[in-house]
Amino acid sequence: MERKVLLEQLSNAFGPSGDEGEVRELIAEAIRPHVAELQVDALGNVLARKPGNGYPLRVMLDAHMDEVGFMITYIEPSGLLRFGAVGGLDPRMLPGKRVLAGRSRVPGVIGLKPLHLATKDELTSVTNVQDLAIDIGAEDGDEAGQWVSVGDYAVFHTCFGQLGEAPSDGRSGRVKGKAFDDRVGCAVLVETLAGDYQVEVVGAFTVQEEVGMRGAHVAAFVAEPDLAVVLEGTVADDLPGEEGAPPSTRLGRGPAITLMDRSFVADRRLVDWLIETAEAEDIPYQFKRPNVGSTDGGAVNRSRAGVPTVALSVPCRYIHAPVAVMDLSDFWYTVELLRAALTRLPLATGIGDGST
Amino acid sequence: MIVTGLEGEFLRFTQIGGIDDRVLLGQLVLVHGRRSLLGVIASRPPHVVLPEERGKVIPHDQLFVDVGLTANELKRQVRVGDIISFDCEPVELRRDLIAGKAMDNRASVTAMYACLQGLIELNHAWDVYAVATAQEEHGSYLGATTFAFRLQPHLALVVDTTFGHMVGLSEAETFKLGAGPAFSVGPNIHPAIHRRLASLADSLEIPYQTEPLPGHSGTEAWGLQISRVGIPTGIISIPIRNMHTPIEVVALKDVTRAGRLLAHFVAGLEGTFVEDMIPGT
Repeated sequence: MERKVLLEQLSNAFGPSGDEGEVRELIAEAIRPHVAELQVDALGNVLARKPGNGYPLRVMLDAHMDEVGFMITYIEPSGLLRFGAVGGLDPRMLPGKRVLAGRSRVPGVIGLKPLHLATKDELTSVTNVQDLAIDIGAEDGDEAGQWVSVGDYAVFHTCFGQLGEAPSDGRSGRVKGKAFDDRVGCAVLVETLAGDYQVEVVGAFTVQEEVGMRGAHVAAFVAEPDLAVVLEGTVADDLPGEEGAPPSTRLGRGPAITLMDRSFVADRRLVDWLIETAEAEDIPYQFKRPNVGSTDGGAVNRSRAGVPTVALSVPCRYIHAPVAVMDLSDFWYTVELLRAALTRLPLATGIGDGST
Repeated sequence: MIVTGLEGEFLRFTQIGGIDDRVLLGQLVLVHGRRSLLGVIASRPPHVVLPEERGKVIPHDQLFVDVGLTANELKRQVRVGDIISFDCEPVELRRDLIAGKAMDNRASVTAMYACLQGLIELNHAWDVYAVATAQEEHGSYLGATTFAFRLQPHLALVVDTTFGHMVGLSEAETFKLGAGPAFSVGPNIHPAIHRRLASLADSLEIPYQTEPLPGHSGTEAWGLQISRVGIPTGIISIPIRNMHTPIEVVALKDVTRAGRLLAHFVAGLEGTFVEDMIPGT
């Protein structure tokens, strides 16, 4: 049950790219008892160190704290808030949704012209972000300005919750919420840091992945790891009727191992290490369809003189939408696989043993 | 919305009344199956959607609902024909504005309730029936017209919502939220009822707006007016934003004003009001 509570807190937390403080505080509190050193860098990344038993192999585990969201760009005289997209916000998702805006987390809605008065073209074309506005109910611009300032952020107003009946074990069943990309990765990383390993582990909770992996770039330089595992909530595109291309990943089939995405190619030794661990431990796994999406792996992989990197993901339906869906068993198996894989180090990958 | 089919772990659906396809992706819903199931209107993430598809609104009959059940469990819980509703608690915005689903027309039902409460304190000569009708959104006004036929009222007031001032609409076609209910004028409205509403609002110092309706009012008044021998009909409308979406916005004070006005309208009706307004009776 602990896991679900942590995931719930992380999912509900306010943390678009550049404003991750609320997420950072939750994470720092959760990991402090389990790590030897906790550092926040100039960009806001959290780096947590566990020294291990003296083996000279340093593993970086990366999960990004930020989510896609909104930035208020202009307050209209009418009190409406114009906004820009923070990260890969999907314009198809925006009309008719609820948001929380600014430091006071004031509720607002993204309105649209009623269908009765809209033209056929307006009804069938997705409205541009610049033509949408957040309505917080302010009488005018002055009142709106008391609640929100230009440059403030907003996020979808979505609460974490169970779908269907909650299984009594608290470790299976499906849940809905926002920002599973990548708060589920953060939750996996927090759980993994609670374990003990022979190798040195650096947990990097990064900022600004959604605007171009900015935090991971810096975190990887500071951590200077021998190898890295990037933890993600990734695209599950398993709706019926998409013939031809296989789904990116499927819910309920276990953690997804990335061979290659649009930002990097996974190190084959690390892919084999995860596969061998899963098979030895009888943990289900799947491969993510290549060339879908980008991850912090793209930044970590090319840090300094290069870092062998792999990504391990929890499949999530509807990422970047106001509400995503994931299977808790996938989350649980991801934690189990990662922890088991780490206990097989330092020898299992051939990295850092003098053979490379 | 209504379930039209089951495909694996997902449900197909279609609309009941005028659903706005533009707001559907990513909405939370309740599927009223053997038990109520929380679900999400499913979408393919932008990462896998072709660029030429990103600009198109997906019609509702090409969408799915995901209730997080396995295919077998879904078959046990849901059947074709089960109803789907939006699942959202109303949220309070600034001032006294509320955003939520079905303000069209639960805001008016609430005003009617406020009217009945007001009438507890007021003497009224006329019998009054508060009718919360079925199936207005289907477009046939079936609930209103069948009940009017049975009741044979001497006069009818319809309480509905109208378009509030908002992004994308001009002030010429909308009504300000919080500036009082709108009283309609036009062929669907008996002028004596409009005159009485306006003079009553003035004497009660309730602000109001005027909504000119040159033809079809788009309300149940259209069906009521021609019931049996004809009914003198009036329309009071509460302005809302984002009509037919799960974030319809209404000003609470407009609702309470409409309720107070209705109560005083009923209490102020003299015995000869209808006789006086219809020549030849």
